Amino acid sequence: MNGIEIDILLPALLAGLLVLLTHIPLGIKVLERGVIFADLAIAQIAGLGVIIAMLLGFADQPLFVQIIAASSALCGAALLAWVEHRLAEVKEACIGLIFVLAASGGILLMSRDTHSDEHLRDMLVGQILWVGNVQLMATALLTIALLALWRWSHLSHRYLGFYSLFALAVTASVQLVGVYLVFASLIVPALATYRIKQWRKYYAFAIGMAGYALGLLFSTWLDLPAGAAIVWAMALLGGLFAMAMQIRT
Amino acid sequence: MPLKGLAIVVQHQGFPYLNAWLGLKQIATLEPKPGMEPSAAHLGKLLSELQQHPARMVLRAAYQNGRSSEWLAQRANIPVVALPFTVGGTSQAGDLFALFDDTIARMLAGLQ
Repeated sequence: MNGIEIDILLPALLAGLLVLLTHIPLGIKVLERGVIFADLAIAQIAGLGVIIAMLLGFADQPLFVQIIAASSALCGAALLAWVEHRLAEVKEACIGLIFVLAASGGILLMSRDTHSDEHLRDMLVGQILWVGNVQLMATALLTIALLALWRWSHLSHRYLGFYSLFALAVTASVQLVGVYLVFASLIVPALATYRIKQWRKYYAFAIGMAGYALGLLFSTWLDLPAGAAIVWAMALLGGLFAMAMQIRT
Repeated sequence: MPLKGLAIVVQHQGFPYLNAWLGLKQIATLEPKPGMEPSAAHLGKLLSELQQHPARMVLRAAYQNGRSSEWLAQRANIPVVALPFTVGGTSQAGDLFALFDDTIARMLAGLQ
């Protein structure tokens, strides 16, 4: 491994670290509550907000686009909180329906405009190797704020509070690393450790980080697309970990 | 002609006619497979290639997302030039003549 490769891999690894810091506790909660696909619904609603901003002609104001994306995601959070509160027994069906409505709503809006489909795809398919310093810094600040709120406020105990933190974390991470890696970071570490009582978060974090590191090495050695390689590396490591734990007990 | 023999990197393999017409020297392609994220190995090779054969600018089509070009521009310290690619691709490229004028003007501005 030479200096150039480390230069390419280090920002990607830092992006993975930032995503895992918020997504490990979120993923454990998401698994507990049985709202696995809420992240896809939220990401799609944030994407829908961005399409509307584009149609209104704000494409060249990145900060404004981010504000719109975050506000749309928070509206989505309110909707999901209401669903979990009022329609608890059919919540997975409702979350799936919200995802499909947001995605196809985007298509309906885009049919009037030739370029916004590009923006929607960019929102959803962030690519981990292109992560830049500004984006890392912004995400680091947001991560610190979210972790502080998670730890010291009671937001995460309420329906709306939990979904609001979740929505902001997912909106940032989807643009940083893409929707597949967000899903994997949320679910794989939480799922692989779901029987562990003590130090669960630390095991989960170790699995996640090892997944990012191994996937990036695969991408370098075997010439594979980075994001997809990380998803598979993380799932393999999570599976091995769960099997090892099974044998020990 | 200041553009003749100019060393460039392209975001996608999208400008073969432009290269032939202006005699540009394409050093590398940032995303060889459109829509497919590149591997870390490819980017490593690309950066070491650029250390040996520095390029003056990254070319991309105006309709493409600029994230990968910006990534390279930061690392190699060269400008990104977004070309209209087709009539209507930029607000200046209103007809076929304006397409060529705007393409040349944007590349010359990138040289500054």
